Amino acid sequence: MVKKPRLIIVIAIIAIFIWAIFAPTGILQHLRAGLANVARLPLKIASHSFNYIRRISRLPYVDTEKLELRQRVCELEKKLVELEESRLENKRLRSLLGFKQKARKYSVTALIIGRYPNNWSSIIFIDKGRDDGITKDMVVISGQGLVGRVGEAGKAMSKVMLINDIDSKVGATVQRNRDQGLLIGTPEGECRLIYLSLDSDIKKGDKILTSGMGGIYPKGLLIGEVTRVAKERGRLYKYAVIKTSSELSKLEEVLCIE
Amino acid sequence: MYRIKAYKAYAAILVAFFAQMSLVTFFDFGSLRPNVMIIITVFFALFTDEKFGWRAGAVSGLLLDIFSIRLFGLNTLFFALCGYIVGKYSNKFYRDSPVTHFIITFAASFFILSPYFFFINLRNPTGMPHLGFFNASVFAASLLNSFLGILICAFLLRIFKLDECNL
Repeated sequence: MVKKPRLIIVIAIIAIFIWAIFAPTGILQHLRAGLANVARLPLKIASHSFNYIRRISRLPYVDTEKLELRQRVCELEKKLVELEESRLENKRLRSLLGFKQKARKYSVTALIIGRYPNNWSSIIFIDKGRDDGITKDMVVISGQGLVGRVGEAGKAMSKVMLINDIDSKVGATVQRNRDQGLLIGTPEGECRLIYLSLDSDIKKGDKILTSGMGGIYPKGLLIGEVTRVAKERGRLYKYAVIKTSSELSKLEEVLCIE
Repeated sequence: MYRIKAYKAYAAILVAFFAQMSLVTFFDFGSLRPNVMIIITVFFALFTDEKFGWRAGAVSGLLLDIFSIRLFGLNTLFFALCGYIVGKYSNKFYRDSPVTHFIITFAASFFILSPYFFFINLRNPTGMPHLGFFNASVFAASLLNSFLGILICAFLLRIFKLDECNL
């Protein structure tokens, strides 16, 4: 008699979990996002505090870093002038050919307030959500290149799947020879460009950009560069290991674009 | 059985969770990060019984599931199961010993991480990683958790003032 209420509770819990596994993804995502929002403020406070401590520990290296950054800024300014010239020429040529201009609709900056603690999941949490215009599948970039996409958008906090996550798939192209491939994340936390044809001449140092295939990631975003090319035994394609241009483990701020 | 107030235990789990999401992510040992939630589940299961053990595990796992974007309930299930098993056989161990903390944390980590590893890799387009990688990641992660478990359990023992006299 005493055990019946306990049995009912156990059955109810199992039923809830079975429902959670098979429920339509939208309902579960909303529920999860809603619950996750509660943790936004404490996560933000914790991550800001630890980032502040980390910055203080870097103070002895500031002078050297400043010098290096100044040199880099000079080089980039020169490159910017050249790129602006190319952009204007491209604009003129496109208008001559009658191409439609695709303007980016929306972008929002976000701070990273946490990371998922699993060794094989590359998920970060940002402090912006639906209230700030973030939607699912929005592309996330840093100043250096592609970071990932929004996996779940809560009211005030969102989860971003990084490009080295095992579930991440990005259509990519080699800048030099325009070979197409699929960029995936691996359990080891690295990025690989797979489905490269066996006669591809991809080599170390080649830059990898998004190809625009798949409809999520726009074309032309820098992903990284090739560090190694290999062929797996039993596979009919080559793959390339990619070093991402963004340091995915050290990100503090990102930009979400539509 | 040791006396630990439930609200204190849940508060500790919550603090551990926020530390895991923010502070612990800075500690990277060759792309491996410690999992404090496993350690804290083991601690509370070891020093209470199977009833509180599975509850502590379920709360820890649920927090991880809420912040995941993968299959909901996986962490909750394995953590609760782990908490139940550790709690059920907790009186068979010398609970204050760091060796016990090491061994149980290792076993719990292996138990929780192994199915998760296989589940994650079932959907890997390059196929299941080789056994060497399993050893390098699951085994290494479990070992890392075990060493950290000794320190965290010792710290929690002091915080909760648990010793054989506190019965």
